[in-house]
Amino acid sequence: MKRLLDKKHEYRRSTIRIPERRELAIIGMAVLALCVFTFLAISYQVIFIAYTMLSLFIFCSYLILWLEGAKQEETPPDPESWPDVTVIVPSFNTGDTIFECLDACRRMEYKGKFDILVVDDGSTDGSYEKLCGMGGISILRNEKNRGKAAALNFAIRHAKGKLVACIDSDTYPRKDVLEKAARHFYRDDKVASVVVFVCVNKPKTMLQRVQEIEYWISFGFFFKTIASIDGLYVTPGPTALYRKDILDKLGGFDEQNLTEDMEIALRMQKHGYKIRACHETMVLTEVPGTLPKLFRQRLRWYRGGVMNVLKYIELFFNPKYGDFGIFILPTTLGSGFFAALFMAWTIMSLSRNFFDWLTPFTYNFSAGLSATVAGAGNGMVMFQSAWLLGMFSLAIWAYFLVKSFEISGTRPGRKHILPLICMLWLYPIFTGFVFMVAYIYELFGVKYHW
Amino acid sequence: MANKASSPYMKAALLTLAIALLGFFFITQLDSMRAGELREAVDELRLQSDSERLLYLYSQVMDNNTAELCGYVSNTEESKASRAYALSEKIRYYEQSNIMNSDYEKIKGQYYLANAALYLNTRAMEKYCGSTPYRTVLFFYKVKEDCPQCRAQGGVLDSLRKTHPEMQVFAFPSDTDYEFVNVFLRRHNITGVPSLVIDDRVVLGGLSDEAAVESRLSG
Repeated sequence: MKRLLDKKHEYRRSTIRIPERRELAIIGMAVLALCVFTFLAISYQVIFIAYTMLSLFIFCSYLILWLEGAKQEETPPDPESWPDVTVIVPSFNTGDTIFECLDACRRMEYKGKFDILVVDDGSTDGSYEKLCGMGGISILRNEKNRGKAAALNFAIRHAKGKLVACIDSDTYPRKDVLEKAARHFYRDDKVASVVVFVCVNKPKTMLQRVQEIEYWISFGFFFKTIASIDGLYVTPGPTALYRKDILDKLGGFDEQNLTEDMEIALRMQKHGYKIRACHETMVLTEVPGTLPKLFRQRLRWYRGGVMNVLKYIELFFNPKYGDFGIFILPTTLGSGFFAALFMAWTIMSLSRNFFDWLTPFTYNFSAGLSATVAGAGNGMVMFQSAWLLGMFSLAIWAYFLVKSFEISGTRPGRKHILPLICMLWLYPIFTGFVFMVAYIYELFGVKYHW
Repeated sequence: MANKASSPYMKAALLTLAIALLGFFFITQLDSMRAGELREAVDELRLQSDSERLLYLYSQVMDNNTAELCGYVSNTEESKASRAYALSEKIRYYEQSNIMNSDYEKIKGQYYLANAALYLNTRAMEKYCGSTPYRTVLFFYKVKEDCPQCRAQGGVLDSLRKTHPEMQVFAFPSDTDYEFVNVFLRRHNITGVPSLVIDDRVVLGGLSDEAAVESRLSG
């Protein structure tokens, strides 16, 4: 066991200019006002049809991309020589998961050499002291908590391997993760990172079951398809392998960023590097079990997303970056933006309807009740014609779902029905709401909190 | 790279277009089906009103058989009025749900005409038969702008119709261009909505209380 203390910590700050908050707030408010005005002036059906057509086009694009290439993606052959890998596990007060994570890391099998480097980022829960007694790992220690990106940079500077595998302390890799992922680097020297299929570890609550399916679809089907056109825009925190020399050349992770895993991916794309996805194996990660925790996690993700969109705005619609610039980034950003707008519009519409619904009650209670019953009865049974278009999107989405189950090696069963229903009808409301809050926070420059 | 990349997106655009065309075809079918259903219901209403008018004419011209006609009217009046009233709600919701059918304005016009004819028939029968067990209520509301009081008044009438089957409500929008509705409005001096005309007595601003409507009905 080896211990190192970081006394002289170097921060690597971003040099790319982020627009001033005030300018951003003015532009943002103007765009928002325009959208709100448009939403109020145009009927619900027109908005619904436009939104459905847009998502239909995006779904069709993914379908074509999948059928044309992603599904035929083959496993790369064994390299002639296996590069050394340093597994980096950053930890801050993660005493409840890190030991299981390290057990899983130590059980990994790799034809080359690999070592495990834990960076304790100023833990106060006693986990550092316990880690000191563990064999088979090296430990670095930050005296003060400096954030995950700083901890990773600190470890990268001390890493010996040609490749570094960054694994979150609440993530448990399968035995073959290094072997399956490392071989992807040898198909192309431009491959800077390989991301591994992330799945949810032992979901218990309904919320975790919903996230389990969400991870299968996002990190399974979509990542596989996006990777086939070199369009990955994030190297997920739970597990990603990097070529150390490229990380050094790029200046490591951005320590001022909320989502350093997205920032590094965008920086790699900007400099012409490639990111591959490995779906031959998987890592299992812990996910939030309650709504407030999930809200905090997603708020950080989405705010980080907005931050990075602004930082790398020149990549958007830029043909120089191929599919990544002209399709992946605009549609990813567009989906989040429209989800936020749709949520804002729904809230406004519901508040207006709420007052409409309330007014008859102020007139007379029984009148209000009768008007409510009659309105609800008629409204419920009425099938909106525009919904038919949504059915087609739903059918394509169902195909994606089936493929995601296949990628994860899971047989769909009865236990997936309820989480699926929640995912289809409730989860978009939640994510739309978080997107909306994220945009509002970014517009008004609300302080970041981890 | 961009040209190479544009190929799957072009295919996706074509696929989207094909799906959209298919979707709009189904939507057109669905909307036409609904319009057809409404048209059929309105036609039935018109048929009923025409048949009543014919019977009335027959009764006056041919044999003056008051008992037979008044008996027939007493038996059919209740169902006829409730059907007509329920149809107005259905038309409103269908109109909100459809996107491809432009026939709704025409169907609505025909419906209001049939409804007005039914109201007039009912009033004519009252005069002809001396009295009927039914009480007619004209209800004027707004459709072009939101009128929460109108919805509340509708709620009061809906609630009362369950306990007072003798109450026959004929509802008309006051802010449309149907001349016969304007005639009603002028005839009863209706200057605001919601307004009720219970038999021939005008209640401007409506009645928010069920008991107040009940007392007017029995008065």
